[in-house]
Amino acid sequence: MDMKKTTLSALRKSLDEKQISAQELCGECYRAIESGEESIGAFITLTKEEAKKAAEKAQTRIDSGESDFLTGIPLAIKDNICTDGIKTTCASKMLENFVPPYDATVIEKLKGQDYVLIGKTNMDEFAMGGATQTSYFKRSHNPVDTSRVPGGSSGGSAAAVAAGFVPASLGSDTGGSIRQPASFCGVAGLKPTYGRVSRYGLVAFGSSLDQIGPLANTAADCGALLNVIAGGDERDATSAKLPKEDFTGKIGQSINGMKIALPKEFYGEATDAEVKEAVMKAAKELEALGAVLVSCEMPSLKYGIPAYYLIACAEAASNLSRFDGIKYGLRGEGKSYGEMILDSRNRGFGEEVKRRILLGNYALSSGYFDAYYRKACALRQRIKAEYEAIFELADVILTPTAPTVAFKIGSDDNDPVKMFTADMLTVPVNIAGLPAISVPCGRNGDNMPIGMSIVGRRFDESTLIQMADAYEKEHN
Amino acid sequence: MAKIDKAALDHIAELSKLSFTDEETEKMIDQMSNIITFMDTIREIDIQYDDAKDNNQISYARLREDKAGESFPTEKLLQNAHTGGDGDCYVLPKMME
Repeated sequence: MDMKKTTLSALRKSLDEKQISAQELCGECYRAIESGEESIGAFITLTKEEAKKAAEKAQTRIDSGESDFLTGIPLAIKDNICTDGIKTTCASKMLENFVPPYDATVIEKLKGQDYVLIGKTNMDEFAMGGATQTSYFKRSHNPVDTSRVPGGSSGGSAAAVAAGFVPASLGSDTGGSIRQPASFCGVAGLKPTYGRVSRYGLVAFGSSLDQIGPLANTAADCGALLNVIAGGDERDATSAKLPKEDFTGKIGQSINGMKIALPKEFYGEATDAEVKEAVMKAAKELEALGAVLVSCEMPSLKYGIPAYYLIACAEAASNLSRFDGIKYGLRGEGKSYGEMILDSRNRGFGEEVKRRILLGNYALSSGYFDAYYRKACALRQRIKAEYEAIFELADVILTPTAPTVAFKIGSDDNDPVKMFTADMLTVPVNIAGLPAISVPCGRNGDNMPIGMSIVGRRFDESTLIQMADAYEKEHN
Repeated sequence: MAKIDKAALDHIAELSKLSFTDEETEKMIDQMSNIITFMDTIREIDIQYDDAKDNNQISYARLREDKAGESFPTEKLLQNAHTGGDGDCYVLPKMME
């Protein structure tokens, strides 16, 4: 079975019609992993024994005719999402042996349907990075070309789907960490509206930016997974309490007359010519389906990266202050309390994490708070207002997901600022708290996938999935 | 031009509860200076943060009821801790003499 060529709905049908059992499906995943994982490095932890038990339990449920959408479906989960009893490392030495005492809310929801956890996927350390190269454990590789990065920080989750190890996975997106690896690996990835999915049990990076979301082979599958994980949660005060919704409900409805904005700043010099060409071609294809293309501007885009990094790193500096070796995590040496904490953090964190903590505390420190953090918050308000103005003219916004295709491993190791600027097209969406889906829209001259992002109004994931699905069906 | 010097790095390292060797300090000063120079792009634009716009008030109607529930089992909470054999305490070096 080629997991790359199937969908969650097709698997559901096969399971319910007894064409394949949950145990066999689980076995297919591990066979694919055994043959391909060494060259890709998508996983930090494989959960074979737990998966076998989960598959057996799921099969019992299927046999009794009481399956839910995800019963018996194998998934991979990014390793910053807490899984009770199963190591959750955030790809950091700090949490190398950390076993959470509880499940994240999204995991509780998946377990409620008796899904099958195949493994915890590799990521950039504490979700800080855009290539899945800063993990303490291993570098991940792009399944399309293993000399290139899979993107990040949910690179393991994207690679696992692109390699056919699993039909879908969960990642997290703070500044593009679902969409960019989806784009680099040639799969679909959805960042929900901020507040759509509970963050309880997601190890926090930037609390006003983080969202958990799905990666899968199709936009419809992203919608189907979102149906399960979305919802308000008493344990996450930032989650929205909204009526239950079927995010695949608009699939198949015509996009005739829908307006698609193309902000010119996203198509500037910093974006590769081949990327722009592929996205513009996709825009024309959507126009041929009846959509209307609308030009517009977002003049504050150029401030998006500094605004994002100042806010995200300030929040990260606060969130990562809990890692002191006292209650959990790596404990360093030291004759005194202070020395022990210093040693724990010096030894536990990698370079990129340390840089971002330093930047965050710099932005928050006395004498700099107004000039940096408060100014970044003002820019956030400006960027939100510019998006609101665009949504007066259009239903969705179409942009390239990333300015380039997946780059060679090692090519940005020594340039932190270059790594930051690679996020320029994704971070504004997080700053504004909007939903966005990345779907493949072509390949470049080196056969590397190119992704386009469809951005929507807050809580309008259904429209994004409708449009992305329309494109996928037309294009395929 | 370097935006930060050793004293500035030492200050934010202290805030961050991190420390660096001499070699690391030199590298970090260089990298942080480049990063902060890049962040300074925001100085070009003259805008003010509007507190009222972000609706910073807590909506008390949305707070959950103050009802006692079951606690997490102690052994689960301590499963990742250094308890030094004493089952219900975190053990750590003295904070002060």
